[in-house]
Amino acid sequence: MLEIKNLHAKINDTPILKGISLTIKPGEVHAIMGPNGSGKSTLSKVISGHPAYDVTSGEVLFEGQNILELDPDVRARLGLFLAFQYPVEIPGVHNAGFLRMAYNARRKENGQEEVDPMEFDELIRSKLNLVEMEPDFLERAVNQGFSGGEKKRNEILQMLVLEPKLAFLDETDSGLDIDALRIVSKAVNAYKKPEVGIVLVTHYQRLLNYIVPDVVHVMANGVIIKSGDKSLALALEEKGYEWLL
Amino acid sequence: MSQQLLNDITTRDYPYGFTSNIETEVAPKGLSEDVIRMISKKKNEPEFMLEFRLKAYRHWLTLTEPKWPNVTYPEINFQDIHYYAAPKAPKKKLESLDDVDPELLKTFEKLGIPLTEQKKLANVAVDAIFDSVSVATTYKDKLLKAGVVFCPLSEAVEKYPDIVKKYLGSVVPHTDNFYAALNAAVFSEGSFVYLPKNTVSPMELSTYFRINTEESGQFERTLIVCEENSYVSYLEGCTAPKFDTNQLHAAVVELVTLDNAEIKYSTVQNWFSGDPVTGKGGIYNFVTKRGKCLGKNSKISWTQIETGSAITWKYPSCVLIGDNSIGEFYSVALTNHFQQADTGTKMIHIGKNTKSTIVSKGISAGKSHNTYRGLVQMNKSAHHANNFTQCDSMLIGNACSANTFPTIDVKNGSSTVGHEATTVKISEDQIFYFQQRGISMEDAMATIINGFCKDVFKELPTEFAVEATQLLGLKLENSVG
Amino acid sequence: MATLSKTILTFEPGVMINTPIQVTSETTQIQVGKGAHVDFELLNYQGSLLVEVGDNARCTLLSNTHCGPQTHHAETIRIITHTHSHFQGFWFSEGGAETQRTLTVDVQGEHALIKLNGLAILNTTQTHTTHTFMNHHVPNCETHQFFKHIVANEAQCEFNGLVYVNEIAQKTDSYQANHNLVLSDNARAISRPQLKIFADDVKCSHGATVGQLDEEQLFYLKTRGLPLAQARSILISGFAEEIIDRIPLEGLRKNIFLQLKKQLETL
Repeated sequence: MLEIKNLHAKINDTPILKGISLTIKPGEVHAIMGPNGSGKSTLSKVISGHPAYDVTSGEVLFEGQNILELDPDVRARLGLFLAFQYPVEIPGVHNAGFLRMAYNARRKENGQEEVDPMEFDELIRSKLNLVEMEPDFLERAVNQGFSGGEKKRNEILQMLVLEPKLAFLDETDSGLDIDALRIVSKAVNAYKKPEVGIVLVTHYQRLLNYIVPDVVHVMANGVIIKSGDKSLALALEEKGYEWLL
Repeated sequence: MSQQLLNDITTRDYPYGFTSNIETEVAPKGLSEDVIRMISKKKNEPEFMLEFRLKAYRHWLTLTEPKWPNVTYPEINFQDIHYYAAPKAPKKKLESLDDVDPELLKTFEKLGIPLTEQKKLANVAVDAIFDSVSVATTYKDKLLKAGVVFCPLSEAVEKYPDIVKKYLGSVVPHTDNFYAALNAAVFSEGSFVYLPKNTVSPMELSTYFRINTEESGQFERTLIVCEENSYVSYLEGCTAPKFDTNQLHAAVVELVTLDNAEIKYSTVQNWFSGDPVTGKGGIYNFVTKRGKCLGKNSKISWTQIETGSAITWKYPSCVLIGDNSIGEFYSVALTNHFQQADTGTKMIHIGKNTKSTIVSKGISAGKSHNTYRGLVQMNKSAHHANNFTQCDSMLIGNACSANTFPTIDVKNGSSTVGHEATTVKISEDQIFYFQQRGISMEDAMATIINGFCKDVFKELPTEFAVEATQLLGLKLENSVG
Repeated sequence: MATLSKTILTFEPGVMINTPIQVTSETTQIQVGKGAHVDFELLNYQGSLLVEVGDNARCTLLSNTHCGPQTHHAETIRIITHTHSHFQGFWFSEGGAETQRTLTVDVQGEHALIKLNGLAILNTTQTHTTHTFMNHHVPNCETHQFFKHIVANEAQCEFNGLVYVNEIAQKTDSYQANHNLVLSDNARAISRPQLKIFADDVKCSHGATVGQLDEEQLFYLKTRGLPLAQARSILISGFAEEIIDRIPLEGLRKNIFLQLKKQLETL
C-alpha cells in the first residue's frame, strides 16, 4: 500500500534522507529504529507532507498514487495518519470539536453526511474507553496543558476515530510511563487489522514487546542500513546501535 | 504562511454592499445653526432638545479634531456631509409597518433582519434604523407589558421627556470630545431603553443600523437606563453600502445602571471597510461609548466584535462609581487590507471594591494597523479596587502592524492591577497538525483564529456568537468553541 | 577602582578589564571595541551618554542615583549594540527630588542579547520617571526589560516603556516587565508598557502590575513571630532583591544591597 522509492529530502539545504526505499503491505506492522538524528522522524514527516522539508528526488506511492505533490490534508484524507512525537498545543480550540471537524472532513470527501455533535459524542465514547480517558478530556483545548502521556493518548484516540489505512506512530512510546505504554499498546493492537498498515518509529525496543512488528528496519544517517524480523530489534537491544554502524 | 491562503481568507467580498433604491429626503450639505434647527423641527422636538443641540454645536465650533489616535486619513470637510437623511414615508409619522416603504423592509430582510410580524426574529426585539430614522421596532408591546421601554430616541423625547432630560448627556457630556459634541448637535436617531426598578427584560434587545445615502453621516445616539435590580442585554449591528467616498459615523452610546442593575452591551460592527485593493471608501467609525455604574453592585459589560470600517476610533468605557460595581470589556478587533483601528477601553474606578476585567484580541492582516489603547485608573477613593487586563495580538503577514498602548494609573495604596500582553503567531506546525488530520489549511487558519478569540466570543449572546464567528471568515460555526 | 574623566572613552578591540570603571558626568560617549569586555559604574550621572557596544563585545553598566533630597536628576543614555554583543544595564534610584531617565537601545546587529533592569525606591514627595525605547532594527535578537518601583508616602513613579519591532526584525524575542509596589494611599504609580510590532514572526510580550504587600504573606510571617514592621521590610526587600540579585558584579551588588537596606529603614 505504501511504496517509497529512493527518497531524498532536505531541510534548509541540509540533506536528511539520502535514498530511502521501503514497501509496506496491508496488515503489516513495521518498526523503524535508529539512533537520534538518523532521520527516522523526518521520514514520517516527509511522507505526511510537512512544509519544512523539501523532497529532492524519489517517489512515494500510496495505493499506487504518487502523493508527494499533494497537500498534507489531501494525503490525510486518503487515509494516511501521523501520530506526532510532539503534538502542538492549539489554544482555545475545543478537542472534541477539532476531532469532529477532522472526522467530517473525511466523510464529506467520501460523499457521506457530516455527523452532528450528538452522534459524534456516541461514536467517540467507546474509543475513549479504549485509551482509558475521561470524557472531560474532550472538553479541553487541543493538547493544551496535557501531560506528555495525555498528548500521546490523544494522538491514538484520533487514530481510532479517523480510521486511517496507514498510520505512522512517531516515538509514541517516548515520555510514557509503564501504565500509559500498556494502554497505548493495547489500543494500537486493537486497531490492527488485515487492511491496515502500521509503522512504529521508535528509539527503543521496549514498545516492540507490546506491539510485535513483522519487519524491523534500522536507519542511520538518512538510509536504511539493515532490515529483518523482530529478532533484529532484540539483537539491537543487546548490542546497541554501534553494532551496526 | 502561504500568500495564496492569506489572499483567500482576506479577500472575501463584503456581502452587504448593496444600495437600496429608496426615495430619501436629504438635508442640504453642511452644518449650521439653521440645519440644527431644521433637524430639531423635523423631529418635532421640545425646546429643551433644541437648546441641548445648539449648546453642543456652539461648543463644537471651538474644538478641533483629535490627532492623537494612531490612524491617518485625509482631513474631513465637515461642510461636505449631509447631516440628515430619511426615507420618505407616506405619512408624517410611522404608525405601523404598513406605512413603511416595502423596499425598506426588503432591505432589512436581505440583511437578515426581518421586521414583519410573520418573520420577525424569535427572542430578539429589533429597532431598525435606516440613515437618520427608525424604521420599526418589533415586540414593542410584549416588552411594554414586561415593563421594558424600547423605542426610538425621538419617541422617547416625546413620551418620557423627564428620563431623557435627566440622563441624556449625563454620561457623555457634549464637552467630552470633538465627535461627542458633533453628535450632540446633530444626532437624528437612536434607541432608547429604559428599565424601571425590578425589571428583567424577557428578551434580547437589538438595534440594527444601516447607512444608505452616499455622503451622509450617521449620528445616532443610544441611551440605556437600568434602574435598581433590573437587567437588559442589548446588541447593535451595522452595515453600509459600498461607496467610493468615506462616510462618517459618529455615534454616542450612554449607559446608566443604578443599584444592583446590569447592562450587557454587545456590538457586531461590520460597516463597509473600503475597497480591499485601493483602500478607497469605507466608514469612519468615530464613536464614544461609555457606561456609568452609578449604583452599588451594578455591572456594565461591553463586548465588541469589530470587523468593519475603514477607520475605527472607539473606547467603550466604564466609570465605576457605585461601591462593588463591575466593569467588563471584551473585544475582538480584526483589521485587514487598509483598515485602521485604534480601539480599547477606559476603566475609571471611583467606588470601593470596584472590579474590572479587560480582554482584548487584535488580529491584523493585509496592510492594516491595529492598536489597543486602554486606561485603567484607580482613584484615591477606589479602595481595594481590582483590574485584570489580557491583551493579545496576532499578526498575519508582514505588511501590517499591531500596537499595544495601555496606561495604568494607581492613586491609592490598596488597589491591584495586572496587565499582560502577548503577540501570537499561527505556527506552521499548528497548521500542519490540522492538515495531517485532513482539515484544509483555510479551515485550519479559521479555527485557530477562532480559538484565539474564544474568550471574547463566549461573552456574546448565543444568537450572535454564530454571526460573529462567521464574520471572521470562520466556517466552523458552532462545533468548536 | 579606576575613574576616568574624559569626554570620550574608547576601548580597543579585545581588551578585557576586570574591575568596573567609574564614569563621571563629564563623559558623553563610550566606545567598546569588538570583542572587548568592560564594565562601568555611573554615580549620580547627569546628562547624556552614548554607549556603543561592538561586535561580540560584552558590557555591564550600573547606574546608581543616590544624590541629595533636593536634586533634580536627568539622565539620558543611548545604547547601540552590534552583532553578537551582550549588554546589561542596571539603574538603581533612591535619591533626588525628581528623576527623569531616558534609555534608548538601538539594536543594530543580529544575535545580540540586551537586558535592562531598574529599581527605584521612593519616599516623601520624590518623583521618578523612566522612559525606555527598545528599538529592534535587525532580526534574531533577544531583549529583556525588568523594572520595579516601590513608592511610599507621597512619592510618584512613572514607567513608559516601548518595544518597537521593525518589519524586518523577524525572530525578535522581547519581554518587558514593570512591577510596582504602592505602600501608601497618597503615593501613585503610573505604567505605560507599549508594543509596536511590524513583524509577524516574533515573540513579544509585556506584563505590568501595581499592587501591595501580600496580606497572606504578611500574616504568615506574623504567625512566625515577626513584628509587622519587620515582616513588611522582609517582603519589600524580597521584591527589590529580585532585581539586585541579577547584578553580575559582586562588589557593586553588595553596595547596592546595603543602600537598599538603609533606604528600607526610612519607609
